Amino acid sequence: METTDRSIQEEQERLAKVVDRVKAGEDQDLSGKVREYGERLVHLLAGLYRLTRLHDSRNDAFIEPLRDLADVFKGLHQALGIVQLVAVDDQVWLNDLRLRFESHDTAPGLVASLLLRHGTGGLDVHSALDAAQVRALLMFLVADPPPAAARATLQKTLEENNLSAVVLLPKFRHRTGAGAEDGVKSFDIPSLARRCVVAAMALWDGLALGRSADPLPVRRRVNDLVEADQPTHDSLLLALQDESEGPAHARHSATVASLSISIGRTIGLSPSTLSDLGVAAFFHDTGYVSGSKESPTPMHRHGIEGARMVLRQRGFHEARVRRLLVCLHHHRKASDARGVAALARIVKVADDYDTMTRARPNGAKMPRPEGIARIMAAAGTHYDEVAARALVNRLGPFPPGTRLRLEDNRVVRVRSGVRSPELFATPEVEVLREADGRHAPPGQVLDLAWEGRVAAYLR
Amino acid sequence: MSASTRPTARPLQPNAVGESLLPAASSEKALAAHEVLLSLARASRSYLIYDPRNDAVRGFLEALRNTFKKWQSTHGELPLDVERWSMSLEGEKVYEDRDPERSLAFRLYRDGVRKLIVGAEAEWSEVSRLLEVLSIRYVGLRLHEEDVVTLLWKAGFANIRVEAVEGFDPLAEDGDDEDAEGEDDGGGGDVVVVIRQDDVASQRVPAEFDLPLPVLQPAEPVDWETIDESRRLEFLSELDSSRLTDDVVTLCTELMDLASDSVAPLPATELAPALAELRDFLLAEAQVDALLGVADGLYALLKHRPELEEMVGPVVRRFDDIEALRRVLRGVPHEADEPPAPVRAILERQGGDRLELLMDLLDDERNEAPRRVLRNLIQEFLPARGVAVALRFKQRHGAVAADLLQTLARGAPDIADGVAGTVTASGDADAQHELLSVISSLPDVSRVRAFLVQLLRAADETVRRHALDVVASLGERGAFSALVMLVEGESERATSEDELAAIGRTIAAVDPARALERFREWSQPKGLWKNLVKRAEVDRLATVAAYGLAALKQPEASEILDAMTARASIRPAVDRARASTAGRGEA
Repeated sequence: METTDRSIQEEQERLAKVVDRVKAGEDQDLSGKVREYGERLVHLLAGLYRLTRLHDSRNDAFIEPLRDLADVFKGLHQALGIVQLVAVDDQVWLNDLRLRFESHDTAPGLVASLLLRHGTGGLDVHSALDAAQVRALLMFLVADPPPAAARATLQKTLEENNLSAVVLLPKFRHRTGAGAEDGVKSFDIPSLARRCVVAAMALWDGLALGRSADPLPVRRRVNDLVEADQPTHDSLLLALQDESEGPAHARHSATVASLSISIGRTIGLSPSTLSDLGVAAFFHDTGYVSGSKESPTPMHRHGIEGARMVLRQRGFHEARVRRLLVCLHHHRKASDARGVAALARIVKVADDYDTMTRARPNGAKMPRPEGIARIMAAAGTHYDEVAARALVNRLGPFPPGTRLRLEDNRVVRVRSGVRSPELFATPEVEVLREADGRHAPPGQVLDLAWEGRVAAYLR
Repeated sequence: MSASTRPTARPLQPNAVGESLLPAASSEKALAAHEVLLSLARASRSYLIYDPRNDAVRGFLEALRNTFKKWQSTHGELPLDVERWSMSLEGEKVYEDRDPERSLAFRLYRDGVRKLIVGAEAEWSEVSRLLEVLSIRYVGLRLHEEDVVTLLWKAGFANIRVEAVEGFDPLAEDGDDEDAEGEDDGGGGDVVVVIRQDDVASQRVPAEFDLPLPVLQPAEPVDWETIDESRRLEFLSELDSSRLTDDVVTLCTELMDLASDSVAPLPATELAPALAELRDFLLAEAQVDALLGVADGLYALLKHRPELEEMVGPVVRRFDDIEALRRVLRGVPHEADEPPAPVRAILERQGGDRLELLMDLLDDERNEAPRRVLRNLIQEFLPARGVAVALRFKQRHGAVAADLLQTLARGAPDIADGVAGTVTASGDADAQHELLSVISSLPDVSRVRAFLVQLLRAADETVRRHALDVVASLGERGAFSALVMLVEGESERATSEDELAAIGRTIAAVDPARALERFREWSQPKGLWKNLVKRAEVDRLATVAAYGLAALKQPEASEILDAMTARASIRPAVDRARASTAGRGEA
């Protein structure tokens, strides 16, 4: 055997450290505590469900069990952060831990049927619920569901009744469909753009409703972006410029994530770090949702507010540490004496580039070539030199979306980033207007490396 | 999955611990794969049951490595289809566990894994990383960050391939609520992604978010320029996982700033759990300098904001309390002998009597490396605090008592002698048994040999026989003379045949060559010796010799025993000795 016992010891030590990290912040007996709370939760819910069949909801018989249930939610929230209750048939899981019940115990089945009436297979509970909220939740669950869209209807009702911290999950099931063929993912650009925007919207909305941050759905999208090639990212940047593709904040999140990943890849970050970077980029501005229309979060506060939202998620994770630092640092100058985390320096470049060049409600925006030139000129002071140079080398002097006038008077829109150092200033473009000013037929693509010379960029 | 590769529906039979066994008719290849998967499942699950540094975990790791290497050298690639409860190899079921909590297949399946292919070129390090992913999913309760699929993706395996579907993704079902939730649709179909128009965030995010822009000067168009390699590498080095500690310390500082924020200070309820997590990370990494630096900053914060004391104070104190010391101790390397600097650093912060604290830690510690470090730390208090250690020794039993006596023997030999002497002379059979247990576990008995000899003459027969067992198990050749003296010089003491048998066996065990000669003499006293001893004494010596000779199991010994049977008075003892030795051998 080539490996020695010593290497097994070292491997054991490495794995022990990993496990210690995973358990960081957890009580020694967390799983026991969760089981105990979980079993009480299921029995209380089932018992209350039975009570609703016997008594009017104002009956005093509800007072004590509702108070107990609120205590259970409080304890679970303190222990776990997000509490996820999933019911499948007569099995119940609490945050991935299966709760044990005697075979004759009908409580788990009753809880599952209570949820299934509304087409839901589980609940994510993002904050501790008080007795009044628990009472309201119970009454909404036992009420008759509408014949269609039961889950969506109940979710809306919860949100309108101070229960936005409760998210109804679809029926839990195990899909048996095949994955991507041969491990190669093909990306349909409009679909990818929409999925990114939807992921960002769900993230921002969840935080706006006071829920804990849930990065897993975002990470799945980000991992798509890490696997996507550069032409896909170029097309994605263009697709995300389309205002009909979702609200500005969500498109901004997705754009900054895509740009950050492109910059990170140019610098040579590992896929796993790119994944953390992309997730952090999705989160970087979420602090803005802490405000309201009347009292919006000022720019200098949004990083702090964003970090506080990320803190609501519990459990130590390297990615979460990085995400927190991105939220807190991404508006600092690279030369800030307090220091700026590496990923935040990348996000800052991507963030400022998109903020300068995106369409705004008042119509003002900086031409992309100007934006990128100003960022490069400020490298070393405002911006990290390596990150700024990576952005330039990735997007070139005419970044995707730039409108150019060619020397033959045709108007084109840039659709590619830099394909190679030699082709730095000669991207692929789509013709918008012919030389005589007529609209060009859609899909007419030119490679400026072969044909056409840039006369000027258009504002 | 094609129909041909679909595993059989019939469940496998479980073994005594509930793991499913393959049918006897399974192919050799299937049985080998079964072994690999069982060892992978056991190793993953072991992190739920044991401390990750426990010897049992090391055993599971070793078993996994061995079965995996065996598989690889014989069969190469291991391509597995993952079903809800089982895994199949080329259509043959090779693993099944229907307990959702234990099942490796279920863990993978539930997170969307449908194929797991461990390549022929996979290194042990990759298999270990696979185990890491699975173990994390087994032990983690707050893992909203990643699931098995994203963890496997992140691991960036070169020789392990995973095919997966997204297991449970509420986002993909937005906008198509009821239809998407129907019974299993076989998957694979594109989900129409609809962007909601009634999002909440749009009501809250200012239209001019992230503005005003930083003031940047107009500039010339950009040119291509290669990124400076040294700066690029410097940038990458900041993201090395070994630098995570720096990020954690920075974050702790930022959290302290947030707690002091003039607009909306971070409440203690949010600060305390975040700090607890960061502390645990620093402890797990044994980054004690960073840990203590952060602790000092936090103590300063508490002085500045006493209202945080109630909730945050207890968390802060756990940065450098006895629990922190215990955690750092548990992380000391296996070969550690001298107390590592981090251990000393935290120890120095402990108030009260540090010797008592170290002995308290020794009481609870089970692993050898930390025990060794603790013994050495306790020894530093000797001989000055020898009495305190001796007092603790008297209150403890077993391994802890042995550790304390061993430490005393090294650091305060006189006190160790006194302690052992007191117990030996006390006549307290329980205490004497305890001392014997301690002696038997000492790596070096040279200092306590005298007490052992004394205990061979203890008043209580059970103590004497325990002492004989200890002498036999230690194989102390030096005890031979003492044992002989016990037989020849104690003729007046009434001794049971069992004790005589034990003496005979012990003499045979400690020095077989000299024992044979002595037994020969005792079996047939001659000359002056015969004249000096009484008849009863002759039989007593012969009985010891009979049991000792039977234990020697040598032809010469057997011949002497045969000759002894000629004496009617001793024959029954010889027969019993032979029967007893045969029985012991069989046992």
